[in-house]
Amino acid sequence: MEFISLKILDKFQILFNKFGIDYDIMRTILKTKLILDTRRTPVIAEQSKKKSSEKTSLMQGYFFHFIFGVFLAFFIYFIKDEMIRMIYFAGAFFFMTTLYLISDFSFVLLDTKDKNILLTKPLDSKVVSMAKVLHILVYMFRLNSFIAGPSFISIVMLNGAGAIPLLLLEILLMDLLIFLITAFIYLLILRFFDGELLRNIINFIQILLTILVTVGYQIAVRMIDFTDLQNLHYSFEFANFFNPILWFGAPFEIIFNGGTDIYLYVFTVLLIIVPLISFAIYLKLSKKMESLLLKLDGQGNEKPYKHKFELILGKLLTRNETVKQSYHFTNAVLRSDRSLKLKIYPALSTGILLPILMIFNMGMRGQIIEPTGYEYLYLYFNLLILPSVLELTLYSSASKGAYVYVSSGFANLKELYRGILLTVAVRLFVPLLILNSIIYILLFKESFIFDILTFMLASMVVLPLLGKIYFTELPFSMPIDESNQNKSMDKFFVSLGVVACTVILHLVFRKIPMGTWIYTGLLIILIPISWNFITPKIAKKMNKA
Amino acid sequence: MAEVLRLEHLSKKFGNKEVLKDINFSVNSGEIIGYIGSNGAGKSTTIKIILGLIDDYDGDVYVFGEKVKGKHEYKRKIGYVPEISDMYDNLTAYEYIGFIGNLYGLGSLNAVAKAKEMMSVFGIEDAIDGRIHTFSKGMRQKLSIITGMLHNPDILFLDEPLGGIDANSVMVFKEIIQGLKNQGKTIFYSSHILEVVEKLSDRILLLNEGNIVLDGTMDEVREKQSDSTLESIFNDVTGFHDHEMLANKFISAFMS
Repeated sequence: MEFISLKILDKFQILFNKFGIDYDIMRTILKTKLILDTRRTPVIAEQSKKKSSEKTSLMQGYFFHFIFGVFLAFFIYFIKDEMIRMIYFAGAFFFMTTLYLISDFSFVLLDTKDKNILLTKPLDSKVVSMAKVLHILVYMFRLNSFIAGPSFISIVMLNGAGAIPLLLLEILLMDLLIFLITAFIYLLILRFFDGELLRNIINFIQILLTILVTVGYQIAVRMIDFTDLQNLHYSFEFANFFNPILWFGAPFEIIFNGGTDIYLYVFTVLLIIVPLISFAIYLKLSKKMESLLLKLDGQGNEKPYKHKFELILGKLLTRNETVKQSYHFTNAVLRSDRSLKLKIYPALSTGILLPILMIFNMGMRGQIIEPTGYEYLYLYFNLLILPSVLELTLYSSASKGAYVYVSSGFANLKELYRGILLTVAVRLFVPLLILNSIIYILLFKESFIFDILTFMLASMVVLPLLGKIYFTELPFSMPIDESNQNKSMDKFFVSLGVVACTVILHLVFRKIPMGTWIYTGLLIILIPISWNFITPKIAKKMNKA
Repeated sequence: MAEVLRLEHLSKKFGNKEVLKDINFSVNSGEIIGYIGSNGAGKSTTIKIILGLIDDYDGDVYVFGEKVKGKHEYKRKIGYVPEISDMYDNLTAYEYIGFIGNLYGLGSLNAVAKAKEMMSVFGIEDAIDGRIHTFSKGMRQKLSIITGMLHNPDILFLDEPLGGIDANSVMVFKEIIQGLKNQGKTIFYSSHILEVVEKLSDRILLLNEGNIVLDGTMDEVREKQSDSTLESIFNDVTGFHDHEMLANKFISAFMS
């Protein structure tokens, strides 16, 4: 198997050798990593069947990025100011790529297996680190082609073919910077903490980063007036020196618009030297990082915690013993499975932000929010995170443990799934709803209180419906590292349909006199029906067997 | 016999816990060292330090007279078989062997040819095209033994190498160890299976709470402790005599 990325890399062999890196060994490691990335399906019986679908789902995984890329390309095409255009492009690019790196590539950065396999061999740690960096960069470049590809065309159409090498170089520098910022944050955490606490902190930082990047991007975008793209002009402020996103516009302004301001040259120099110096520092620190990673293998001193609140809720919410046990079991898994948490919590944080961002994007006029009366509908964006969350409950880093369902002869799958739904609702979704409700009440006072309540009830009706769509395998039974490959667009679109229906119903009932009351009453009746009578397909299949 | 390994004042702390306390010993070529101790005594930590997997320690480690801290070339001369082998599970055994062969500069084809012969000894040659994640625990361990020895190392570090391996293969493995000793290879064997250690080792090093508390040939150790088996010596030195009581406690819990 030969990879294009390796063939391209071969052209730079001399450069690597010059820096004292054994290119052949590094290439061997990188090639193996790329081979490993192409296969992540341990079910040997399904190998031939899955191979083609793996490729399709990989493309599907990038579908959203591509749509985003096309949208971005159209958007920046209409911006005339070189600086502004590149700031928007770089901002969007940073946002998407960082999110992807944090949620999907942390495992490469924090991998301890590599150390045990590679560093027991006669290899310079520099070679191993370089292979790791390149492995991540190859993936980022693949992602880039979907996110930045369409914008590439826009920029070339506006600035001519001369923009190609510059843009490629900028993308490489941006990737490097994103990767290094992430790596340095991990390095800092690894330096000061250990064991369980360290893993929890990393988990927390990952979630925090996702939120920060989302909010940061919004702030960057808000620095410029949105209303008139054609007439936007960049004005320099000293603080801009510290915002890497703004650096990326400078070379374009200098080359294609004849910009001569000194700050443009400073931006350009920063753009080149900051990633390169950071990279040199990373290579120096990488050995330290590798040894610090050993802490991840160690045992920590997590304090025993009795989870009283969870126990009380379990007693209050269900009398069925199996549902209760399933509820506690799912809570325990969600508490302890960090790989799973790494996937679930960033998804949740997006859920918190989506409605708020929509309000600010649609309702902001200058400095004040002008409610349109329909803001309550943005709350339904919260429901869009449920498909990812429910799908993730089928995965676990201890998926092999799923044999107990079969070996114990356990048959009450319906109750098992109800316990999972209960946990998703209580542990993940309701706190999200409460947080959003608080923000809504702070922003709009009492205007939407009844709608918030209606939305909460509708969510509780919809949750089992989405469960029915997504619970197609036994809970926590598939390896977590496959969770990106098996994403189903069909299921997502069906879920989207279900959510759209609830949005329409809410909207329609609100127009009818006393409609909201009727709708609320209906929802209250529907909740127990939805939770009792909707059995996932897998449960029916298993029960038959 | 030339000295191949020397540890001088080796100490290691994990947080506030002192895992190794001023360890000193040297090993000569052709020796089989039985490195024993309770769980958490620091056996694996010692081996990881020698292998360069842990580098923030106090003291010095010398392999073939060369201080190894921060170096990597010396690893050509050492082989390592861990208790639980990390491998790239989605590669086939063929690919993994080829990969390891390349890392040692053997070339993948040479490595595979050599490994195939070694695999046939353990009866797993037919599995060469299977992905590693489909292997049983024993098959994985056999593959780990093979890839740990592929490059003809002068010193072999074996950390509980026999986990999951069938009885016949254990017998073959013991013969291999004796044969390698006769070829002048040095074996550093860390294990809890004291019968195997007793049979194989020329010299016993017993680690207890981070200290070497016994160092000598089996005869010397027996004489010193006036016990006949390594198991009873181990119990004496580690102060453990509650096995019967604990077993009964377990059975009562089991039957209740």
